Amino acid sequence: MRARVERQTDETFRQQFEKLYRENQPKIFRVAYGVTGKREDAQDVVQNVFVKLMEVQPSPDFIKDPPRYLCRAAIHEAVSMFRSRQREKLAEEDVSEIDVPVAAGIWGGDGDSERLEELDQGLKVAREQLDPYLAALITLHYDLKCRVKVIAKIFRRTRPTIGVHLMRARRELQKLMSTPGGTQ
Amino acid sequence: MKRRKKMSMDEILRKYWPSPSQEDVEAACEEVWKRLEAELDKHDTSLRSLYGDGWSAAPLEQTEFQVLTAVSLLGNRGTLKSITQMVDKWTAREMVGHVYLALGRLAERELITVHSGPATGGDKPADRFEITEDGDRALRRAKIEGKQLVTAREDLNGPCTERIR
Repeated sequence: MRARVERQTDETFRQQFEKLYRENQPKIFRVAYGVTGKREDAQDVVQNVFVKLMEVQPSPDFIKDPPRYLCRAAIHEAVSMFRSRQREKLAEEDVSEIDVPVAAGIWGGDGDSERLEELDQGLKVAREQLDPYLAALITLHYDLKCRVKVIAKIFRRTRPTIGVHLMRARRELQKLMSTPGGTQ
Repeated sequence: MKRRKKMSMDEILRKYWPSPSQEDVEAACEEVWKRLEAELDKHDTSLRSLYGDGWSAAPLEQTEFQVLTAVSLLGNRGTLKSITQMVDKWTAREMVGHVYLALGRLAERELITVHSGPATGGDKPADRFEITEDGDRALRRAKIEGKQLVTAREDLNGPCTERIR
């Protein structure tokens, strides 16, 4: 017997679109925020990713795995936005003048609020200088708690490669946090 | 003196990597959705789908397109005979066999409905065909895809067989 085909209407696209948005927006927003570090930029990233989806026919990549495709698209979009902001910033100020707390992030602990603030600030500044793809990797792994296996699929890399990149990201961050002005 | 606990980079990232709060995420979700709704209004997505072949309307082959158009134009006067006459004009060839088979396929896909007409004398009543809502959507898709009603005969499309003297 033939399977009953779901009835398609003029509202089909809008309904599918909203469902897809509601299901994936939190993850995409968090990834974009992890890379750009700004709420407004992260919102723009989410908007751009979904507007592109609205404008063109879905690619085979999207049809294969929509959430993974959206995550990848958001990372690329966020990296692109981050780099464009960096260029604007570089044109305006000298990076060496950025105030990074020395050795922040090496120490911390309960009740040491001043130290934690320093750590927080140090991480924020270090993130701004970290390669944005590494920032995306860190966000996926530490904020979204994605396993290396899942991240490998998003980035289309092997698990050992992602493991190495994660290690590199941690080392880079540590270096950036203990070196005022970063390594540049 | 209280001794400070040393934290590994892994621990620091797990605890302190900058991340938006749940409220922030939810508020951002609503703000962006409003912007997306405005964008949606600017685009005609009535026949689009995010999945499958990207359409929410059925695809049509050339003959099916011609037959369905004829059914649509004829309204409740669409019989095998009247539909075939119309399609014959567009194709400039005898299409009764193709039309008959296409009607069967279209009915099976629920793009047309079949009604038995009133009996005339002792003859079997002629079936009448009418387009459905899905059929109408399929036609709209075919038009957007650029399908043409009048098809050139194959021998006119092919290379010239005459020798240049």
